[in-house]
This record gives sequence, C-alpha cells and structure tokens, in this order.
Amino acid sequence: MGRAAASLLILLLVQFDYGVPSAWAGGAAVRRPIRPDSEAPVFSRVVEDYTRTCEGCHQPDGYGMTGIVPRLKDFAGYFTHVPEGRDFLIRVPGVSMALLDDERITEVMNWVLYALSPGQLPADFQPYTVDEVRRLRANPLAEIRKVRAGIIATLREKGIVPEHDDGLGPRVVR
Amino acid sequence: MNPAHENPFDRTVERLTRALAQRTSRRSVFAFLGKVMVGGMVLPLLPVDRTLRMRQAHAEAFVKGAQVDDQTQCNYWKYCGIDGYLCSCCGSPGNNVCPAGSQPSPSGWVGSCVNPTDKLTYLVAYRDCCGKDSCGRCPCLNTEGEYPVYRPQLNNDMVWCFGADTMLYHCSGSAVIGKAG
Repeated sequence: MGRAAASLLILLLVQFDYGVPSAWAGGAAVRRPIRPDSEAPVFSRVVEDYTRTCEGCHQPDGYGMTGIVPRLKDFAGYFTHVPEGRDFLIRVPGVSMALLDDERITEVMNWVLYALSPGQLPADFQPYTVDEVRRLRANPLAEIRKVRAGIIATLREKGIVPEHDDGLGPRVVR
Repeated sequence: MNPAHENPFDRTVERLTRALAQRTSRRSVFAFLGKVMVGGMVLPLLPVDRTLRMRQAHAEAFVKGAQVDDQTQCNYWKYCGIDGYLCSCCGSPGNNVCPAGSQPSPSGWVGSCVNPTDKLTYLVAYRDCCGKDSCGRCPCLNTEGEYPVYRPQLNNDMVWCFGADTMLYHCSGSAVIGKAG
C-alpha cells in the first residue's frame, strides 16, 4: 500500500506541477504554464495516455468544459458507488472506443479515479481489472445523456451526489 | 505411352511430383500445413503496437524536413500535426499565444512531434484561437498522428473552438506540454 501510495503521489506531482496557470495568453481556461521546451516534464505512460487520449476535452486537470464535457475532477469517483455507474465509466464512447488496448485503458481509468477523484470513491473501492474493462468496452453505450442522468438521479437519492452538482453544468446555445 | 509424357513441362511436373511423394509422408504435409495455419492465426495476435509504429513512421518523415527557427513556416517542428492558419503569421507574438481579439479554445487535441535538434519526441497540444474571422495567412496542412474525422478527438480538419465563447475560427497554434516517456 505504501508503494502504491508513493507512486500515486509521484503521478499527482507530474500532473499538477504542470497544471496551473495558462500557457495561452489572452484566454483563461487552459491551465498550463509557459516554459522552455527543455523543461517540459517527462510523462509516465499512464499520464501520456491520458494526455493523448482524454485531455483535449476533459482538460489537463480533469475539469472538463461546462455544459459540453463532463468533469472528472472530484466527480468521476461518484459513479463507482453503484454497479451501473461503474459500468458506465467504461462504456462511454471516449473510453470504450479509445485507441488504447484493454490493459492501458484500465490503467488510465484507475489513474483518473485515484488521481483526479479520490475523495469521491467508496471506502471499499476496488480498481478496475483488465478482464472487467474488456467485457464492458465490448458493449458501448447508446443514449449516453439519458443513462448518465438516470445514474446521477440514483446517486442523488442515495445521498452520494450533492444536489447542486451534476458534474457537467447546463448546456448553452452558442 | 501416355500423350501427356510427350510434353516436357508435363514430364518435369511428373518427376517433381513423384520425387515429392517418395521423399515426404502425408503426415509431414499435414504437420507443415498445421504449422502454417496456426502460425498464420497467431501472428496478428502477437503484442505489436501498430499504432505506435505508424506514428513513428510519420514522425520520421516530417522531421527530415523540419526546422527549429522559423515559426511562420509550415515545417517548423512543432507543426507536424497542424491544420489551419498559423497564429505566428496572424499577429501573435508566439505560436502558443492567441492574437489580440481572439481567445484560445479550451479544447484541442494532443499529438507528438520530434525535435530535429535533440531527436526527442515531445507531446504537442494543438489549439485554435477563436472569436475572430479567419486569419487567412500561412495555411498549413500537416497530418502527423492525425486521424480521419470519424475519430474527432484526433482530427485536425475540425474547428476546435468547442468551449470557447464562439465557434468563429481565427488561427491555430501549438504548444509543447511534455516529453514522451
């Protein structure tokens, strides 16, 4: 456990050391500092996989985009409180259809939960296994918004997800 | 005499066939065929990362013609996967800064480019600057690590202004975010 916690801490440092503030002057949303290329951090495999596969929309720190891309940060862990929520996280298109093999997407998903949303995990949380992920991603979701809303409602009834937060926010017509 | 034997081609084939029949057993043929069949089925299952190999092949092709000095050229090394008008040509002080009046989109896609100087692979975030009409200068169409539009996360033909205040596309930029491990 000590070793696992230590490696988790290292991952967190790699990720968040590079998380704040904006590399893109003139805008607010992007949280990366301007620094010389030579000082760019070396990413571990799992962080590189997250960066290549997920962060373009979910953002480096997992905050997502209001109304468009769900927040992983301090939210994704809630889903694992119910079986259908645990399945949901793997059956969403971004995960089930990711260009990563079962082993690597399992690694990424466990990393997302432990690194970005540890405070929302149940006390008895068990990380995803490769076999579980293989089985779930073979059965991708249709009607994602509907299924997601249903799971959030269930979690609300159980008092797990707070009333004011659905991890997504309102959609805005632009 | 069988008329077939008059043809030198037939004679050769017959000789080879008889020689093969005398030297090999039926079992050995089955064993050989079995190996070919099983081997052929197992080969695609071997743990070879084909996407990575493809990416590397593309990376090597672009880096041959890449340079590290001029950010207003399509062959600047960080532009290996850029598609659009270069922000560096549109009044922006650097390729990772949006020109005045436009704002960086919070969404974007991440690829990787090889720096020709140190030969290292860097992860590069591509972002569009939004909120202003098309810049129209320095159009580039580089495709390294890019996928067709049915893989929108890794496609660069799209306007990546999701999450910005408007979907109006102005120009594209790139920023190094890390070194590939």
